[in-house]
Amino acid sequence: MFKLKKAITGFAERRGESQYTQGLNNLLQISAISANESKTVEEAFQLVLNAVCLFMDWPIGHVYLVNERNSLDPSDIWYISNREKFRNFYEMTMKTVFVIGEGLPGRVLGLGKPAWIEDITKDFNFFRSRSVEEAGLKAAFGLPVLSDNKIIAVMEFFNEKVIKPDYYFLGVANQIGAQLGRIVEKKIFSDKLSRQIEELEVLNEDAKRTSKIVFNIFDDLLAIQRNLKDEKNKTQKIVSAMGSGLLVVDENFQLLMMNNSAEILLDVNLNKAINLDIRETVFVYKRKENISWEAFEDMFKKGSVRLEDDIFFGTASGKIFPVTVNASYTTYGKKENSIKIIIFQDASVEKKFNESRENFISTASHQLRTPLTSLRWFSEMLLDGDAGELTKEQGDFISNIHQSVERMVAVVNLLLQIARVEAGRVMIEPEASDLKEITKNIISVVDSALKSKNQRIEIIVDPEPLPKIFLDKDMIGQVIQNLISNAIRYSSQDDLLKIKILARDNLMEFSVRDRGIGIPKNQQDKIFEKFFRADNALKAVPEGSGLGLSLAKLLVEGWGGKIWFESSDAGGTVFYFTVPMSGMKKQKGEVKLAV
Amino acid sequence: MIGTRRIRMYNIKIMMESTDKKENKKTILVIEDDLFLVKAYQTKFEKEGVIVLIATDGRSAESFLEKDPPDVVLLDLMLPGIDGFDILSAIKQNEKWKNVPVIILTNLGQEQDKKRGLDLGASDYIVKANTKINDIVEKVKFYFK
Repeated sequence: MFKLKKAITGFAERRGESQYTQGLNNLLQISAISANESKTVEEAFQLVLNAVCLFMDWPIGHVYLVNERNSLDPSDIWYISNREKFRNFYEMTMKTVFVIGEGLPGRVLGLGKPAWIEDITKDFNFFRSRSVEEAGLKAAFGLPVLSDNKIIAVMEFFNEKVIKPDYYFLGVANQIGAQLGRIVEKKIFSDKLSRQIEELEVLNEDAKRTSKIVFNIFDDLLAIQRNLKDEKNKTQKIVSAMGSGLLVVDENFQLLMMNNSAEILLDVNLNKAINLDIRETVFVYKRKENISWEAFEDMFKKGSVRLEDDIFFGTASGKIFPVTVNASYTTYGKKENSIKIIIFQDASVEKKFNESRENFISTASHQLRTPLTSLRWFSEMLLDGDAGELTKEQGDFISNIHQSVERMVAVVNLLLQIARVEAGRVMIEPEASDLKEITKNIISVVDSALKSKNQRIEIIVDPEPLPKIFLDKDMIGQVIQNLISNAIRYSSQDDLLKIKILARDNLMEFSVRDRGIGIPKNQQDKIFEKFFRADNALKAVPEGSGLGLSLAKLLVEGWGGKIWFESSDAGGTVFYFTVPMSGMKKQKGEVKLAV
Repeated sequence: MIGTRRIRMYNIKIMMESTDKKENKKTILVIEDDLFLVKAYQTKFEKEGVIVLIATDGRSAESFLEKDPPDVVLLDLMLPGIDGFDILSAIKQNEKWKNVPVIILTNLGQEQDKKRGLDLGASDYIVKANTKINDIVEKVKFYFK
């Protein structure tokens, strides 16, 4: 059924003749597949009707069935793009019976081949002319469905424009009719077989001793039926193995198509659901709250609905499951004719996985940090002399333990932050802020480190004052702190660090320049990798987690900015990052970045 | 088991130290199940002249509170049986205890835990691994005032 989308898209984009003929070939294939997949004759008719109407961009398609008196009865198998508009035509048709030669269906029945009328309002042999004129219908064509060399049905199609016969299409239509006929034949045959088998079963009960021959026939018939069944099962299996559910609805949310996976996931029967309003068949929930399909469409209009959006589908049978959705739109013909193609997945497993990952993060944080707390506090107490005076060497050793523990706590905290950001769980709460003010606050946080190396920081902003933009202070503060801490750590005593904040056209650029050890050329490509530390950094400052820049990169890219640096072996590094002028986007998450 | 043994031990301690109470000594109730951390609190606070009562679960905490409300409660969140949040709301709903400042000391650092704790009436929320023990002592002294 995915091919229908392709064919329709192909048709909409059709420019050259070759694409059109290609489209027709696709239509032929789609008709064959659709008809083959359907469970009943009626469903086969319906699917082919939909395919032809959508492909040709004709608003009405309908099926007349040939009865045993060889006249034509109207069936209730329709494709109608606009029920309101064509109501009278529909009602009129449902009351009209044709004999051979009468009207369009009768003409097709008489001729035994497709018939095309450019303008039915000018055709004296058209019986439903009043309702046709009212509905504004002009062009029409009819198409016989042949089974066993007999016409069993006539498919008729109507358009609001006067259209000259498309002979190439009529040829293809003829083949579609023949194909459909063969499928109907097969289905009727299979029904007949089932009936015969039932009868034979009854006979078999009565004449067990004398029915050796009947037995043989019975076995043969069973084998034939099994073969037919297998064929059908195979196709169905392939379609349902697709996993994703597929829904095709028109602009009024009327269901045009669905695949087997959708049937299974939504507990509906295609037969009963086709042409129904999807809004009354599938219910949408955001978390636990029922929302309208229109509100839901606002979400999938942008392309996709992700797990974090917390969308659930509810079925009429009461089943509720989380979904992820991808959607696309195709328009055909006039602007108002658009169809929505909705592909959805049951995301129950992913949802469960995410929940257990969340539990893991919080449990791991607790379990790792508790023994570290104990190490930290007891080493602090030893250093405070709470257990008596220490010798200088004892003091040094304990001090080493204490520093290592603090480092370990920092690593665990950074890992936790990275895990949270990677899991997309961190909430972003932007507020209008001045980046210079935020930077000044961070400098006061790192003040003791700055003083211990007698370094100074100069801030240059352009323009002054900076325009306020929407920022999550914790998040941007974390990035600035990581970059400034690095600058302090890897530069010498008494150095001057320079921070520049520039408002450009559509972004704000932050940079921090140091005259420190620099990043070796051959290791520059690894600098944002987790746990990576450059050789010279390891030598200069043995402690350090190699995680600060990884986190910074994750955060910056998360808000749609860029992060990079300029550095040379000779020393001196400038780190840059940007924030879009439009600021950060609000994100609902369960946790803040702080650990 | 460990919990009950300790309670008995500390009950004796209370009786012995009841003379201290008359000298206006401050009392803290530590509700914490990690015995190493318990030892650290105990050492540090006793050095400061503070009486330290220790409960390793909610039930023993309750019996201490019923006897004589302390000046400050230090409360861990992940505890066996009744968790820290439930203990906190029990304290804050009890007429006799509700004015005792409760400081949450935990290694759960998630924002929603912090918010829940403060909403339930905790005076402070401290992530243990990120804090020096001396800073905790200072914080508690602040609430003595």
